[in-house]
Amino acid sequence: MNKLRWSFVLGLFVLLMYGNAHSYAREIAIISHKDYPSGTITAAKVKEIYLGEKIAEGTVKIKPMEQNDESIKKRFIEKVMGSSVDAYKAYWIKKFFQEGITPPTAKTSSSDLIQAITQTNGGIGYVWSDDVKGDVKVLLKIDVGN
Amino acid sequence: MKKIMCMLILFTTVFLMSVSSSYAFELNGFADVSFTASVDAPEGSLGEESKNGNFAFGTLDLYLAQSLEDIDILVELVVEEGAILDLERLTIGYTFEDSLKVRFGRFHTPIGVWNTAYHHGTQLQPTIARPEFLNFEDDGGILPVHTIGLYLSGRVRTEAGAIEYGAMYGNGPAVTGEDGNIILTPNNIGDNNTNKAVAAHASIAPEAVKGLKIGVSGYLSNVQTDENAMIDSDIDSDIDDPIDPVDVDQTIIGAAISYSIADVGLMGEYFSIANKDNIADDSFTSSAYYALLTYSIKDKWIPYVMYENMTADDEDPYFLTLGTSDITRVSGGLRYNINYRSSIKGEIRSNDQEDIVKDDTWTWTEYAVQWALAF
Repeated sequence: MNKLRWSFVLGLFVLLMYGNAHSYAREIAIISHKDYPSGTITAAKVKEIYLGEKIAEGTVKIKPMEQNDESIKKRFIEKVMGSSVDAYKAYWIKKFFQEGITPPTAKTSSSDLIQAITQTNGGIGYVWSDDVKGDVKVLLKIDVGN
Repeated sequence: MKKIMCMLILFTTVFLMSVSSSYAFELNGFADVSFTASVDAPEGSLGEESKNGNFAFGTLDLYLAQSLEDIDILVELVVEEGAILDLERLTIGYTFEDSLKVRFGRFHTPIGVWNTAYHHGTQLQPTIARPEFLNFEDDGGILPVHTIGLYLSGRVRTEAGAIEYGAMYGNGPAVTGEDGNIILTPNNIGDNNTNKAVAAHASIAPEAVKGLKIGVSGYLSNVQTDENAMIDSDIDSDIDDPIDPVDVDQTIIGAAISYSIADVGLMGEYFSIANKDNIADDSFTSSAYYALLTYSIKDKWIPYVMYENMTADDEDPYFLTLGTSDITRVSGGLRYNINYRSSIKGEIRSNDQEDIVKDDTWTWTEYAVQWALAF
């Protein structure tokens, strides 16, 4: 009976820890203008867009936007782009200079970014999943951990 | 100096006007300062100019790029050696889709990798000095590194990997005289003959081998002396004599490879330069190449070594007229990244030079330190 009780407590503890971990895991949503030609997107394509390698979806020019908020920006660059923030910035200095491709436009907050995307054909950006609102299309959600 | 000030004022005005308009142009730039000393450089060698040990500011490079209602514009203005002002790039273009961009204007000739990747902005360049054979036309360069014309380019993703291509059509270069030197000119505002230059390049980054990129390029043009190709006939005379005319059909074939695995980077390019002399009805082939090895320690410290070689046919009128030298150089250095915008590099270069006109040979060592910045 004692063994059963301890097993129950241990099981409960494991379940609580698991649930706790998941409750803190956050998701980044890749959002776009409602008329964006595609309904979904892969993480690989998001990376290409934010590296300036993919600049059009069919004939629609992609207008990538990013956030000035360091917490989400850092998480996006590290988890989605697979890069350090400094390496990402250095990459864009090079890309801009070599090819004249402008870096993603920075917005001060999620609400600013969402507003800009609703007004920009081809606009694409990232926000925390909880912040998605308004007339935008969610193309992808990416779990970026705790 | 007045010309430089005028251009800088114009550039600043455009920038300030843009700030107040709905379009936000962002003015960016590169700058660098350096110290170079070639303690044992013999007289007449390329290293002679730094035998006293020179502090120098290198290039001030100002550029801006923006898309205005889907029309792409890129402007790059360069002040070199404190006095020479170049409108380095000016392109206006349109992107139809990933696989097709069109640009008109003055751009970096799409031959090889270094010429387009590290053209200016020494902060981007892995070494202090660029390979000698990739020098700019007005700095004794032998390759047409700038072109004025039309450039098509694009990127296509396939199952085999990402393929990039480019094709250009523009003014061919000419051999001209400038400040008593015979140099190549890209013919900025008019061609000196009807033969246009054409070039194409293609590269693939195969999916099967991450970090690898292989490319090829080709360039065809006719190069002739223009009416300015005069040389001092006598040091005490104001009258200059024309140089022997040059008329060659030039074919440049290039191959490039870059590979990065973990912290190690390899990069190399090879060029074959074939000149068919239309005056003597003879043909000559020369070659140039470099190989660069880098090793990144936590993205902060990057030791590197580069080997380069340029071997020109000593009967080729193109190289004889330009006063080209054969060069073999080994450079070893260390780059320290202060942050993502700035770096300090220290470099030692061992040089072997053979002047193909005078047949003189020289050997010397150079030491250089450079602080570079992107802003």
